Amino acid sequence: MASLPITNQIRLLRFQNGEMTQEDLAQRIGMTRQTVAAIEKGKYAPSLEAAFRIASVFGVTLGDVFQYDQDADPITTKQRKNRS
Amino acid sequence: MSFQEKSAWAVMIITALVFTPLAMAFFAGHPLPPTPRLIGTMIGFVILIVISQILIGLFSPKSASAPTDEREQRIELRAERVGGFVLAVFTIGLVWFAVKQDASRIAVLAFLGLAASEFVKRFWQIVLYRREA
Repeated sequence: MASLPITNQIRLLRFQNGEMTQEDLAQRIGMTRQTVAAIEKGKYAPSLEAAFRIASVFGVTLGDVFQYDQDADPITTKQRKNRS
Repeated sequence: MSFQEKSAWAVMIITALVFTPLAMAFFAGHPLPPTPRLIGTMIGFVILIVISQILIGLFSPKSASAPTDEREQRIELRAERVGGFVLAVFTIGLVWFAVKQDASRIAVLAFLGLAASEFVKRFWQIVLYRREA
């Protein structure tokens, strides 16, 4: 499976928030622990709604939690190649 | 492992155990079990599935009572698409078999089933596109 162009700081934010467990975070955003683990590992990109919920739990902005890597996005990479 | 994944493992294993002998007999051209036994197999299959879900729920009550989240729903949709493809392949096989056996009503019914499935799928797709437009 191709890696997602979205990285995140969830592990760090959990650490900074009293070593919050994946289970705690999952409960607070209405997801399973497995889904939180998948998001954290970059294997699953959550919906915008879920992403906002995660940011809200940590009291930070969306950009503090998730980062977009344009070079790792196959769609924009393909468009750039077509243009050049 | 989440409840949904445990449940998927259980259903997959039970399905393989219950239906492999029947599939082997069918594809090897051996005599098939009588209808009452086939009905018994179906009922037994449903009972085993229900028991497995209860047992999984008993051993992991927390995850069993949790609603499915967006990732699980997406996984289920993708898996259903593959399952739907397999069902369509078997239905086409049924049409071919029924035509060969000169059972044209069964062939037409199976063919209509495929057509109805495609119609409902596209109809629902349009409804969802319109609703979210």
